Amino acid sequence: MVRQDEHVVEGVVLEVREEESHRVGVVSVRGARVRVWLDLIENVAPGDRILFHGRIGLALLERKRKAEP
Amino acid sequence: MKFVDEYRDPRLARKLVSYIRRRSSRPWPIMEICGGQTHTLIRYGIDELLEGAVELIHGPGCPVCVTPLEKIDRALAIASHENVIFTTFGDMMRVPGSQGDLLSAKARGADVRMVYSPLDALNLARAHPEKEVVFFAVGFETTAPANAMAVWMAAQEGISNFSVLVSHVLVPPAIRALMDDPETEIRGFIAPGHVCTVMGYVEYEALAREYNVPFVVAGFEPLDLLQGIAMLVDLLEEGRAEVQNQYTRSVCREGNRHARRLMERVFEVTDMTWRGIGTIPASGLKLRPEFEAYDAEKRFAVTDLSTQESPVCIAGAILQGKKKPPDCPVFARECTPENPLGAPMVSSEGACAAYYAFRRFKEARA
Repeated sequence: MVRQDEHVVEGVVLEVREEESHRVGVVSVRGARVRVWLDLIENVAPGDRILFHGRIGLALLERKRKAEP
Repeated sequence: MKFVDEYRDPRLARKLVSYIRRRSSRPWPIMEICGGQTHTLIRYGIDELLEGAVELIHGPGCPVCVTPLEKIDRALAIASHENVIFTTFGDMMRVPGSQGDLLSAKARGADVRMVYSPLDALNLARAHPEKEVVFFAVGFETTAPANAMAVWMAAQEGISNFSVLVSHVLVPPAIRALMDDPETEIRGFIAPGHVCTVMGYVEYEALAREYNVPFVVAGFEPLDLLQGIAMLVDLLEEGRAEVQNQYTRSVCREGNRHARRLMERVFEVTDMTWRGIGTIPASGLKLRPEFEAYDAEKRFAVTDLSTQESPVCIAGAILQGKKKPPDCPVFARECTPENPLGAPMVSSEGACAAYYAFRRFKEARA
């Protein structure tokens, strides 16, 4: 079981799209897919790991790692 | 699992415990602010591993626990309105008010719904224009951006059947109140990682200078906390009242400036009553005048509130770090998660709930 502060969750961004002037992402959390508003984090891209609360992204934890050459 | 397994490595944990025990010259009394951190410390027995090296004092950082009784009674009154859909995070459902909780109000027929986000409540308002949808906006700085976003979006879209019952509290004024207590024994703080993700830790630098105490911003996994305590013990042993950041994967000094800007647009600072503690100046948030139309307190006139706390619950002393849950005469007896007398027994971040889940059999044997 993932046990962080239960109200604040981390996940991996699967896709990012524009919805009515908001950036909204689909985020994978332990296999579940959650819609998260990404307006408060800069330059989030698929593959990035983020922290969110109440479907609002709060922090970019880790950028997607580049593939080995 | 990424950011979990590597922060629960028992070999590294033993090394850190050994380091702290060697480094500490006395049992330093240090407070972890956040209830999420309290749960990790108790669940993994970190306080027992470090006995004699540090004394861990549990702080007031459980948002559900410090929500004033008057606000819960007001929520119950608003939820009982015929045309209202009252929405809240799950852990507020069972927090006892003077006359029951939101779950019992739901059982009596009130339309009370658990949501995962204030944006879900806003969606309900869009879907039910004939209803008034109220969200219980509770929490520290961590939860404020989502609530600010919901109000901001409602205003942008002109959604008039949405409002929020605001009970936001701020960490730094609570630290000031704790340190102003002449009886305080606290010598250092583990600062709350998620609050600092939003707010940064500039404010804590001022507190460190003012009260001559060190702070370490820490995360929520066992190794986060052990490393944070090790850093704090280093600072205490060297007499350095500084702020250091253990939780670098989430926290930077300035925090999330976009979140802070949104909060400042929607909320302003106000005096706030903390349940069990009392009124702390400039320790809460309220909606700015330009967003008053979304204030549920103004939309629903509730009068004749008469609050009444349990006469035996010692939640106030627990939230101030003066007592621990097993010191309470009704802990795990009359007061249990099924029949809570105080909010710290209900919340997923409450100290009483942590001791009940992970320590009650041991305490009973003792």
